[in-house]
Amino acid sequence: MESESKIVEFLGLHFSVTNMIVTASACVIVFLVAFICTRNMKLKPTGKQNFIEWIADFSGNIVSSAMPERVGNRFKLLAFTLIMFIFVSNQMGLVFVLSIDDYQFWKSPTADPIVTLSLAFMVILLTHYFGVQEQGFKDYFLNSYIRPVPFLFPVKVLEEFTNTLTLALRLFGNIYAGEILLGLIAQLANSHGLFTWIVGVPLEIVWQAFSVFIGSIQAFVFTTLTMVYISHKVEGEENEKKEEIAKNVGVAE
Amino acid sequence: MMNLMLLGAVSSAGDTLFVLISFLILLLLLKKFAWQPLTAVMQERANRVASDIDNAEEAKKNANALVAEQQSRLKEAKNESSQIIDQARQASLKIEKEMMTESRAEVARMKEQAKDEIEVERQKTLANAKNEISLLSVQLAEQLIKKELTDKGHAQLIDDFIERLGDSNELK
Repeated sequence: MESESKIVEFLGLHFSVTNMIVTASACVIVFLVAFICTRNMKLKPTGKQNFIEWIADFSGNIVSSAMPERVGNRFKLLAFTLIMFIFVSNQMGLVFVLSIDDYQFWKSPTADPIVTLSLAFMVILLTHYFGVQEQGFKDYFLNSYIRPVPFLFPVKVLEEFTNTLTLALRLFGNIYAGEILLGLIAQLANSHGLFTWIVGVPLEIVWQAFSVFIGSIQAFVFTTLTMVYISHKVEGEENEKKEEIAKNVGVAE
Repeated sequence: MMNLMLLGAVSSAGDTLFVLISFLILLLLLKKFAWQPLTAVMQERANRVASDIDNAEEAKKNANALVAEQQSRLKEAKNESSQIIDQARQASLKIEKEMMTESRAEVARMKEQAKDEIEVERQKTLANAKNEISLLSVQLAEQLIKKELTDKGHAQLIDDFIERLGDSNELK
C-alpha cells in the first residue's frame, strides 16, 4: 500500500521511477487513443471518430464557457490534452496497483502530489504568460493585482499560490484517497479468506465505479478551473469594460 | 520550492521536469497527429453544413421562381389558346358569311341566266311561229287568191295580223 518509489539520480536531479513509468504510460495511452481515433476521418463520422469529436467538443465547450471564442480558440488544444491526460491518469490506478519488493511500479500518476503540483504549476505559469502576452505587462499587472481596489494586493498575490495548491491538491486528494480506499478494501477482502471476499468484492466494485465517476469529475474540474484562471488573466476587467462600451456604442450606432 | 516543502529531503525537481516535458511532448504529438486533422475535419464539416444550408435556400428560391414562371407561362398559354379559338371562330364566321353571300349571288346570277335563256327561247319560238304563220298565211292567201304577191308587201299585212293575234293572246 504505502510503497516507496525507487529514486534514481541523474544530473543532480532525483527522478522517481514510478512517476516516470506511470506518467509516460498515461501519455502513451492518451496518444494512442487519440491517434487511433483520428485515423480515416470522414465528414460523416462513425464510431471512434464520433468519440474523439465528442471529447474535442466537450473540452471546447469548457473553453467557450470560460472565455469568448476570439481568445479561447488557442486554448482548446490545451483543454483537450489536459482532460484526456488527467482522465486517463485518474483511471490508471483503478484497474490494478503494482508493487514489487516494496517498490511501487503502477498506480495513477495523479495519485502523486508531485505530478499534480507539476501540472498545476504549469497551468498557473501559463496563465501568467498568456496574461502578459494578451494584455501587455502593465495591464496584466494592474488587472491582476491592483484593480478594482489596491488594498487587496496582498490577498491577490497570495491567491496565486493558493490557486496552485488547491488545483493540485484537490486532484491529488481525490485520486489518492480513492486508491487508498481501494487498497484498504482489498486488504479487508484478503484478511479472512473466502468470507471477507464475499463482502469485499462488491464493495470494491462499488468503490471502483465511484472512483471512475470521481476521476471523470476531477478531470473536468481541473480543466474547467484551468480555463477560468486563464480567462481571468487574459481578459482584464478594463478590457471587458472597453468591450462592453464598444458593444453599446455599436448598438447605439 | 513548494515541492521541496512537501517532499522534505529529496528534491522532486526531476519528477516535475519529467511530468512537464512529457506533457509538453504529449501536447505536441496530439497537435500534430490528432488535433489538426480533427479540427480540419470538424471545420470542413461546419463549412459543408453552412454551404449546404445556403445551397438549399438557393435551390428553394430557384424552385419558387421556376414555379412562378411556369404558372405565368401556363396563364399565357391559356390566354393564347382562348385567343386562337376566338380568332378561329371569327374567321369561320367570316368565311361562312362570305360563302353565303357568294352562293346567294351565284344563285341570283343563275336565276338571271335562266330567265334570260327562257326569254331568248321564247323569242326564238315566237319568231319561228311568226315565220311559220306568215308562211302558212302566204301559202293560204296564194291558194285563196291565186295571185302572186311579193313577200315584202304581204309581210306587212301578216305582221299586223300576228300582232293583233298576240294582243288577243295576251288579253286572254
